Amino acid sequence: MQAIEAAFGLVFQWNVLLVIGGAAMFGLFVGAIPGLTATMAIALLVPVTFFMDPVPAVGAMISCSAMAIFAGDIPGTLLRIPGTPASAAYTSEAYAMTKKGEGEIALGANLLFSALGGLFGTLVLIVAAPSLAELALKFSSFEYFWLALLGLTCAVFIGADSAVKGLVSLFLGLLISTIGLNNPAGVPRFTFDNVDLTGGIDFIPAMIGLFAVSEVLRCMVHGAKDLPLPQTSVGNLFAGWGRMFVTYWRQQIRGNVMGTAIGALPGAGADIAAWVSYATSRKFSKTPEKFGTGHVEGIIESTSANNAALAGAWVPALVFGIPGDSITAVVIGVLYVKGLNPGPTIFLNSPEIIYAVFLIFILANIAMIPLGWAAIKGAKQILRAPRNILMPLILAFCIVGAFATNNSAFGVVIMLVFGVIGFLMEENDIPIAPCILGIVLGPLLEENFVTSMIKADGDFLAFFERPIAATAGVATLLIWFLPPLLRLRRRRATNGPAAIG
Amino acid sequence: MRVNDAVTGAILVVLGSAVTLQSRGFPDVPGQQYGAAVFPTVIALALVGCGAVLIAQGLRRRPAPAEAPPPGEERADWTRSGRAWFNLLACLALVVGYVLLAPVIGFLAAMTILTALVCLLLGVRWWIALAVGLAAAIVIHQGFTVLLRVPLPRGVIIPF
Repeated sequence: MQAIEAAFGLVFQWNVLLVIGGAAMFGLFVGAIPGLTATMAIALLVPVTFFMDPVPAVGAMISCSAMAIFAGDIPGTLLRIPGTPASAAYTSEAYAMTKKGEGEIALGANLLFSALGGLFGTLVLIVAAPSLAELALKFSSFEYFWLALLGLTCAVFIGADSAVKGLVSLFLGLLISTIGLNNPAGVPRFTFDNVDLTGGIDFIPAMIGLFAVSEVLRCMVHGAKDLPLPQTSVGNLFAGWGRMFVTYWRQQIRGNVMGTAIGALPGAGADIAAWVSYATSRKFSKTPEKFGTGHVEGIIESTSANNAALAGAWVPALVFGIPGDSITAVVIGVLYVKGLNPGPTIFLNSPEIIYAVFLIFILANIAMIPLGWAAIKGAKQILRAPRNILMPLILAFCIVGAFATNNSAFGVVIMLVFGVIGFLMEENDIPIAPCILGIVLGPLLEENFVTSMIKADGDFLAFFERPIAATAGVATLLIWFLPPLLRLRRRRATNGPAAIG
Repeated sequence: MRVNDAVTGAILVVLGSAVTLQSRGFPDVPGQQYGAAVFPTVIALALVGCGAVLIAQGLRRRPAPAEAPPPGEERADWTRSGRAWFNLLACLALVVGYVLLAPVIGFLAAMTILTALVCLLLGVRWWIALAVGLAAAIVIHQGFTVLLRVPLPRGVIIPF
């Protein structure tokens, strides 16, 4: 109880609330502009939060990401251009509703069910995280090794179009994480006698490069075309809320549960949750033929899912220090910088911070309704922001942010190099998110592997001797080997009769 | 810059091999089976493996498949446009120039120049570009030095 009181004291200060509100508006703006993703909003926000206390810093990231994921629906509905990848799953559907003149119903559904989804995810976070943390206290290096590996595995195998390209991205990230002195053996690796490199690649400038600078470079190449302006004017957003809530409560709950679960899987986040939920909704719908023609059912389920996933992703991040998606990867980095090492001990040592996180999640999702309403009403103005001025400003902000993480120009160099890498990767359909998870989880993976091996005296079977480790290990191996085996069987099954006939 | 998967694969194979060679020089930790070289070597070999798969895939469907671009995302081939190359390289050069110049002429001047020139590259009128550059530099400078206390580079010539 004391901790909860302390949490209220930490959150309800005018400067904290101001920061959270500011971050919310920033998130709405960035999320609503196509091409600028929620992760990019976070990447740009991090350097600013570096110099704040932990609670406002984390609060800013929570409200910014929640708003950005919702705001991605706005251009998706009005222009058929998703503002963030998490909205892509139902963009065509929502645009079809706009064309039928039901734009406000689609946007209203996005707003209501985004907020409710966020609240549901938060509820799960509140219930699940502390009990999981108790379990996690018993974890040793074996369990952490498998969890890290499971996270990386999910990042590659769920969601990526091509597993090989996901793997390439992941291994590049892992390779980058080996640079420097910071490894169990304390040996300088790949430093090329460069003093700056001995410290390793700082992941915040790297991420600013991968997610933000790459987008600026893409704009430099393709030109900064202005967006078409939405022609429709949005009517009463609250129309039909009651009816939708009553008619589609099953879809809503299914979306919430699915979203939270996918978000909580280490490595898979809101984008994937939306795709999976949209597909599920169609599969179980009584009227699947209406999907794609401007039917609100699938939108409700997937918009419930992507916001729920956001909170779900915080479960493994807080409890194990293993990010659920690329946004929580950043959050973990920031928590470390603040001296709050994520993991089960944070629940014992600073419970007031954890309660503050819960509180901010609730606040952000409630504030989403009025702020989101304003953003939808102001959508024309937001979408009119000239991109040829926006992009140089983003670049300027990237440079200062990369500089500020260590107060050294080397950060800017890292940022630029990773900007080019990210640009080339995206051009060739290599996803970026696994790379970031690789950079964050690489050291964790290596450290826990080496520690475990020292404990087990080089016996690999030790990784399967403890029950939880064994379960996680088997699950990881199944994800690796099951799909190719199934494919092989299916191929044999289809080839077999053909060969005989 | 979309290249055939085989090219990407070849680059990965070369990178992986180089990393493996470099890792062999890492000293072992006495009394331990798994030294500093293990982790990078495993990753490097995995990269070589992925590279090989990409080469095979790339060679199988030689002319890169023309995929339908996702709605709203321009995926035109820009590599034949001189303007696009100029913009890209100029933007990279400007950031490098900023890194080199900021310690000499100071943050305010360097950032104004960078932002204004990037605006010009994107076709903004010169006086708007200059105004945006100045405003951005001043706002960021105030925000970061006054509110967040980041020591932004002060110039030798212009001490801001």
